[in-house]
Amino acid sequence: MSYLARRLLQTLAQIAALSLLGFALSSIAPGDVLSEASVDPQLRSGEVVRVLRQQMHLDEPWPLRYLHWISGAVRGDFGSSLSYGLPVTELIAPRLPRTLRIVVPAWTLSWIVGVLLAATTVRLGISKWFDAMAAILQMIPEVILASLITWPLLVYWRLDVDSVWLPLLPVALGLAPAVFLHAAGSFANATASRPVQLARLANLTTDRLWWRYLLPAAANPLVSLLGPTLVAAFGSTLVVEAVTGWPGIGALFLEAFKSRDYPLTQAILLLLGAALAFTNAFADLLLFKLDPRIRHASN
Amino acid sequence: MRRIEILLPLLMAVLLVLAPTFSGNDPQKQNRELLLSAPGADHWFGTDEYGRDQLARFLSGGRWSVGVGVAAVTMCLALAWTLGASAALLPGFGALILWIADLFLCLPWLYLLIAARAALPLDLPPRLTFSIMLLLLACTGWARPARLVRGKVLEIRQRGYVEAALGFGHSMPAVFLRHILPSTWDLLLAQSILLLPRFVLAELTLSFLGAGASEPLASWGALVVPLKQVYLFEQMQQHWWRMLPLLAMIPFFAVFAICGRALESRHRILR
Repeated sequence: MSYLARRLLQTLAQIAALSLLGFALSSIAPGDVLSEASVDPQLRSGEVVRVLRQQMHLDEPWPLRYLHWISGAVRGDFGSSLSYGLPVTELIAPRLPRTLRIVVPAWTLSWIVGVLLAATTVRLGISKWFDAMAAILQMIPEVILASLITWPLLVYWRLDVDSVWLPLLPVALGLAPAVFLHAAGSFANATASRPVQLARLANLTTDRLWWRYLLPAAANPLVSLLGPTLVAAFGSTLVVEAVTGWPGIGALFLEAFKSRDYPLTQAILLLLGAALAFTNAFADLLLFKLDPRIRHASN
Repeated sequence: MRRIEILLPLLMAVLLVLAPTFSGNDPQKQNRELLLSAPGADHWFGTDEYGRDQLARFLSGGRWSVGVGVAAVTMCLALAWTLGASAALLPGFGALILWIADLFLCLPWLYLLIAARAALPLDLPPRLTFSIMLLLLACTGWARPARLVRGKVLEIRQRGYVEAALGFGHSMPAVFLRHILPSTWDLLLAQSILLLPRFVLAELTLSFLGAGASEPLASWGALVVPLKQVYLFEQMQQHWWRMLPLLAMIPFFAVFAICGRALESRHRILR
C-alpha cells in the first residue's frame, strides 16, 4: 500500500475513534435529550416522551444510537439542537467562517512573525535574548493576555468592539512565541549539523547557505509543527472569543456546553477533530515529499 | 540537571500554598463600607464589588489553584509513567497506547476538557468540583509525557549496561527497577515543572469559562471572571486595581516558563 493510502486510512480511523469519544462523553452524561429539554409539562406525561424516545432511538443501547448518529453525520445530518430546535448544521454554518476569519490569519501571521524573527535573531546570534521572553509570553494564560491586549486596543486606539483585530491579535500573539521557539531551535540545530558546517567551509554566501542547506535541514521539525499550532489556535479561540465577545464556533460550543446541548457539542467536536486530523495528515504528507529520509524509511 | 531550575519553581509553589496562612484578611469577608475601594494600607490590592480584600483572595485562590495543579501533575505523571513504561516494554500494547495518545493530541485540550466536564453535573460543591477537575486534567494531559517516557525507556533499554545486566542473568523486572526506572526521574521532574503552570492555566481557563469552581470560593479563575466581557472595559478603566491579581499571577507563570524552558533545552542537549 502506498504511503498516501496508509496515511489517509489512519486519519479515517482516528476520526472514527474521535467521534466515538465525543459520543461516549455525552452518552455517559446523566439524562438524555428529553429529560433535559422537556420544560413543556405535556411532554413529561409518560406516553408522549416514550413515543418521542422511540422516534429518536433513545430507548436503544448506546452502540446502536452511535450507529444512527454517525450514519447521519456521514451524510451531513448531525441532528437537531436541543436549545434552538434547529438542525445543528444550520447553527454551525454561519459560525464556522467567523472562527476561520480569526484562526487562519492569526495562524499565518504568527508563522510569518515567528519564523522571520527566529531567522533574523539566529543569523545575528541574539536568539538567546528572545528565548526567555518568548518562553514567558507562551506561558501567560490566554485569558490574561487577551484582556491585557484588548484594553489598550479599545481604550487608546479606539477600535470598534466588533473589529476582527480584537480576537485576532491575542490568538496570534499566543501562537507566535511557540513558533519562534521551535524555529529558533531547529535553525540552531541545523546550523550545527554536519552538512551545513561543511557548506559553510565551502565559503558560500550566507543567503545561499540558508536557502540551499539550512532551511531544508530545518524544515522537518517546523513542518511537523504546522498541525499542532493549528490545534492550539482553535483551542485559544475558545477563550479569546469569550473575552472579546466574538460570535464564532468557540462561543457556540460554550453555549452548547452550558445548556447541555449534546448534539451540538458532539458535532463541533467531530468537525474540529476531523479538520485537525486531516491537517496533521497533510503535514505528514508534506514531510514525506520534503524529507528524503522519511521516504526511504517507509519504502 | 541544575538544582536551581527545580528548586525555584518548587519554592514558589510551596510559598503560594502556604501564603494564605500568614495573610491577615479573610478572603470571603464582605465589607459593605468599602465596595470597590482603591489600593491602600489595609487592602494592598484594593477591594472588589463585595468589599472583599483582593490580596487575600489572590493568595487563597493561589492555594486552591496551585494545590489542584500539584495534585493533578502528580496524578497525570503517575498515569503517563505507567502507560509510557508499559508501552515501551510490551510492544503490542505499546502500539495501542501510542495510537490513543495521538488521538488525544489531535484535539484542542480545552475542547476535550470542556466536553468531558459537560458529562458531569454543573453545580457541584467546590471541593468536589476541584477533585473532578483534577481527574479531568490528569486524564487529558497524559499523552505527551507518556510518549516521552516511552521514548526514554526504549532508549535506555538499548544501552550497554542494560544489555550487560540482562546478559548476566538478571530478570527483566529486576533490571527495570534497578537500571531503567531511575533514569526516567529526571524526565518526570522536568515534565512536572512544565506541566504545573499548564494545569494551573487550565483551571483558570475552565473557571473563567464557567466550568470550574464558583463563587464565593476564590480560585484564580474566579478572579479573572470580572474581565469576562469587552463592554466592561470602560468600567475597568475606573477600577484599574481589578487587574492587580492578574498581574500578580504573571511572575508565577514566568518563573515556571523560564525554568521549564531551561530544563527542556538541557534535556534536548542530553539526548
